[in-house]
Amino acid sequence: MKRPVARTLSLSCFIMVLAFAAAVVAHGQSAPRSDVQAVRFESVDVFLDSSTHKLAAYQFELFATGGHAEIVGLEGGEHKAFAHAPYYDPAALQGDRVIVAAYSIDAELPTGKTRVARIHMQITGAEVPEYQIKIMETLGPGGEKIAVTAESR
Amino acid sequence: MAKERDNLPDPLLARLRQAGTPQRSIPAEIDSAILQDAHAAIARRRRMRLFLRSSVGLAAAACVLLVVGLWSFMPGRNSNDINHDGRTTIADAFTLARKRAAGDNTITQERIDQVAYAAVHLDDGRGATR
Amino acid sequence: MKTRLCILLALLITALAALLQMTACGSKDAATRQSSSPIIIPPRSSELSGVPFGLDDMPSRPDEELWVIKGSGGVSAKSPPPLSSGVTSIRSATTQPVEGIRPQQNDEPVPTSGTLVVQQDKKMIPVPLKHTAVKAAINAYISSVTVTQQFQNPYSEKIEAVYVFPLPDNAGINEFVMTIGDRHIRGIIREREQAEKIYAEARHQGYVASLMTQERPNIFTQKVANIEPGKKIDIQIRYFQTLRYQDGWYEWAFPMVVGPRYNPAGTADGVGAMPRGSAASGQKTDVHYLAPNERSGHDISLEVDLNAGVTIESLVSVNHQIRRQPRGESHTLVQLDPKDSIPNKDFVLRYQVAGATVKSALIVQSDPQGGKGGGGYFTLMLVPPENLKNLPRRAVEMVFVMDTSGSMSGEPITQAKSAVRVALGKMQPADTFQIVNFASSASQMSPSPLSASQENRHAAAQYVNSLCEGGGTEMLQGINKALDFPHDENRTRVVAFLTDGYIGNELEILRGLHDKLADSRVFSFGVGSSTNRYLLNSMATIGNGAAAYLALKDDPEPVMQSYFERISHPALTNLDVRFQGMNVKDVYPRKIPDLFVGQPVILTGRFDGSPRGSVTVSGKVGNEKLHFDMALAENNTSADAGIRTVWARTKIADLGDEFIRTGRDVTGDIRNTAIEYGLMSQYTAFIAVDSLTRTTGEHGTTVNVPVPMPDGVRYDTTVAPGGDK
Repeated sequence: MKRPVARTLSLSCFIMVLAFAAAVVAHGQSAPRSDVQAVRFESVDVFLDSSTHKLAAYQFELFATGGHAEIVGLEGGEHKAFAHAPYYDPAALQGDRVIVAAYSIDAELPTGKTRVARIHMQITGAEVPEYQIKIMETLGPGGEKIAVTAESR
Repeated sequence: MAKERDNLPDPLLARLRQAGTPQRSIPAEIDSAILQDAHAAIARRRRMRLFLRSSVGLAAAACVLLVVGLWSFMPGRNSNDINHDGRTTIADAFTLARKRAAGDNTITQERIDQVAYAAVHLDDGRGATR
Repeated sequence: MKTRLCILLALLITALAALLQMTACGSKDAATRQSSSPIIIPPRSSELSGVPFGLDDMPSRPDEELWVIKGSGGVSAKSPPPLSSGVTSIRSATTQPVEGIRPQQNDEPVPTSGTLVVQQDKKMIPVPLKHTAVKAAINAYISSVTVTQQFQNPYSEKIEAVYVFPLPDNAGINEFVMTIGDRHIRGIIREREQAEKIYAEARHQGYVASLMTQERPNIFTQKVANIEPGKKIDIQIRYFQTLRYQDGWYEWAFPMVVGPRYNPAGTADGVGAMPRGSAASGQKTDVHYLAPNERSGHDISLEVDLNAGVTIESLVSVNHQIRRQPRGESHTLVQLDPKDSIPNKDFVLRYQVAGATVKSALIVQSDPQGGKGGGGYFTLMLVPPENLKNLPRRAVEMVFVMDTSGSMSGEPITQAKSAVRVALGKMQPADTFQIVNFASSASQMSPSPLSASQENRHAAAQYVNSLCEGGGTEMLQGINKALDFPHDENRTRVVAFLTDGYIGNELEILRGLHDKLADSRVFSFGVGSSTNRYLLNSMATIGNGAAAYLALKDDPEPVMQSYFERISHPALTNLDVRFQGMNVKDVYPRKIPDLFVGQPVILTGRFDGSPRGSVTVSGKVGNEKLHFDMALAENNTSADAGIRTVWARTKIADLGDEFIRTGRDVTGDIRNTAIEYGLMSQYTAFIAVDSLTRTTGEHGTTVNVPVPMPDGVRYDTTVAPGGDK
């Protein structure tokens, strides 16, 4: 009596293992892409804070360190004066470094903290890239240099 | 600036006219008469060539062309460095944009874009330091 | 019973119409048989001598009447068109309007007599492309053009919109912006494969994304993924180009629709022509067409800010109604009349400036990346000497090659025939000629070229009149027929190609032309409202000739007169341009085209330092050597930002020509140039992804934007099932 029970148990175990394996395989096949998680899209928002000064022009350089990031689009800022897509080097292919700049001759200009640009990225791989910003130029409406702080997220 | 004339020199034109005249069958007697005249013609052509060589200046002025297309500015050492601070940045484009907004119609939006693109150019690592 | 009688009557009339048409033109096979037999030249006739030779005295066909049956459903036995919406009526032997019948649309052929008309309202087809807005600025001979395509999802589910559209073949496209609401996302130039992968991934993951690729130098595909119901997405493209200048007129053209292409058997990377909503053709690219009774809501607006720099003396729009707002003697704003907003033909603007002729012109742009060393880019318009046209007429061996395929059916072939008849009238007794026609096969008028005697030309006109259109576009056969016979050493062989260029195997054609060319010159004539200018311009480049365009509304007389001016006088050949006092490099095209009467050449290059000094042009007229000196003014720098782009685009085109001429693999060179200058090419593409807008689910249904047939081109002979594509 014991032997048939043991045999049944081992057969059951074997079937369960088989079913599990089949489920794993089936899951793998039904998933649309095995690398969906490996390729994803995200955006990097760049904020400048000019305090009480009006911001009329800016230029910064963005570096990506770690991970594999590629630029797939470049968007303007939240304020109407910087809503249009900024200038960049169209040959900035690798995406780990890009210079972005814009100006506005509008009468209404942003003060305080404002998002001036959004950079759309395609990230490949599990590693999360980090971004650094180097401010190169920030100007007020009369062309005078103004001090700002920068932030990206 | 060269003298403005858009024509071939007359002697050359005459030769080309002669060369391009459609061929016709020529009676033998006329042919021989032409042959007799040929030496004289060759001599004339020699003189004409000499004349052509000696009037290179005239031919140079005569033969075509001049230059038009003259839009505005003369380049400095770096024509995109509008502020003359040794660099090209968005400040240079902004300077032009303010001038245009103030009514300077000699500055086109394309020119402003040109300077702005120069400012953001990556390529050789010089970036905006030019 | 009555219904059956009606059906029977309708079928009878249809059969009669078909019979009449066959009688008029013969079947395709009959035409081939007829044209393949050498024509017998009638003996000299006294009635013919001394008769002025021209278009008016050509015999018209007495049997040109055509019975037309209109309406999407045609005359259907099961579902006749409703009488209430759009009126069904039968007219016979009259062109007078019948009460109750709506007036015909302008773009529909007007039957001359004996007409059965089933007239319906145009059925409105919702499409995801709502509007195209074109804004151009012309300065001297360079234009900057912004095209905005406004996509909108009119359906109840998410879609991907795919739109195949034309742009000028010399357009240097360097800007791409996707606008979603008030957000503007600038696109990035990538290698094509990489851009396609990014787009596929974004589309798959539900992100709003757009991709623009180049299928031909003048055909592009725009894809916009994940447009949710009711949502709008704008795509803005900017390009630079140089204008054409020919016979005293500048010409700026904007194509609006891709004509239906024919792809010979074995072609896989062609451009298919498919009815709206049908499955893929099997070609790499497909254009979907609206049926004649359909109309989409897609319309176009167009504005040209023309700043000629000198007084504009005259200005015409060839195909469209325009409104003009002068802003000075040399400056004017031209707008497309809103009543003419269907995008079914090229917008062609021609203008003349003050002075009898234009002068050679140099425009310079300092290099944005030139640094302190200066340098930059230039374009040079080299104008032929004015008195070149005073040189004597030379005898030519003229070969007219006429495209008589299905796409030429109707107005285009009528125009082509008129042009050939006009040209025949301008030939001189010392000339010889041959007429070749091609469709599914090629044939010729006589076994060998004929002398251009009056009776031969008259016979040729009759031959031209007898040509019938229909069938495919085996252009290579036409080329072979035109170039595969012994060359007459006493005459310049000139091949005049009259075609709409609606083929999908351009590369094969151009290589075939190059291989057969020898000493011949090819002059291409684009006949129609929306011709394939890439093919026609390239044929002229490869064929050492020039291209000209004959719109449906053009008078063939001045066009052919200018053509004869060009071919009748010697060209300046073996041109070489040397720059003294300035270090010039990378001048394109590397093989400088010959200079013909009325046809300047535009060169573009780079230079180091300042653009000072002079330019010497050397060349040959016949066997005579020639030198031109062109002094450069001290202050000759322009700030035109487009020249850098024009230079890079010309380099890419020149590399393409090199591939045709030598077979060298130029892929890497083209790709590198395009990426360095941020330009669209066959190996690069623009991609833009909005990583913030992720829609639910995978990508939606793909909707191909159907386009109208080009004005004057028949749907039934090109696109409809059983057509000639």
